[in-house]
Amino acid sequence: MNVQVYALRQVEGCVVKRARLKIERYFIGRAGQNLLNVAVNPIESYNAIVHHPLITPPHFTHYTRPWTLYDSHYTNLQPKTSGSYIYILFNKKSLSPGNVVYGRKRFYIGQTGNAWFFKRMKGHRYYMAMRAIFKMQEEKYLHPFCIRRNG
Amino acid sequence: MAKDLLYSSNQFLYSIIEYTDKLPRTQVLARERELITEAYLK
Repeated sequence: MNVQVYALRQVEGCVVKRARLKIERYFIGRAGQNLLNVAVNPIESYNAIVHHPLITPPHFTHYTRPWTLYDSHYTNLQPKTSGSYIYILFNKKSLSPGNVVYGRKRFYIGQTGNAWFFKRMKGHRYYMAMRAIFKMQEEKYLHPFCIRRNG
Repeated sequence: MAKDLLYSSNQFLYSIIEYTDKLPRTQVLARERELITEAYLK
């Protein structure tokens, strides 16, 4: 992918972190919707990313049955009102017995505090959608005449 | 996981597999690493 980086401002004030962040916020505000930050564009809203027309939005379901049904040994606990957790996130299609797409289960293991648990799931949706958009744009750039249809 | 959205399925299931509220953060991170390594080796 062709990536260009510019130093917009180099002055003594940039050494001070607070001043540097202020200048950064100024430039982000000026760029608006056109901003392409690697990690996140704070200007674009959550819904604009998750429900982007180029991708199918990720859908997350809290699974409450035993994982042994999918031949996995992980325990499945109910959320408590306080505390922190280690959690697991599975791609549903990769769990199906006739899975020929990957040939193995695809999952993610992470940890979080309880207060942040559902926010973390929201974050996963956002970043997953964001990366899918980047991937789609990259393919459009590299293979402009190749149309891939979702199976 | 982002490729899942493009080529396979947008459906994901999640659940809690361990409570770690009594552990200090360093041990929580160590336990997370342990589970990931265990899953990777399977």
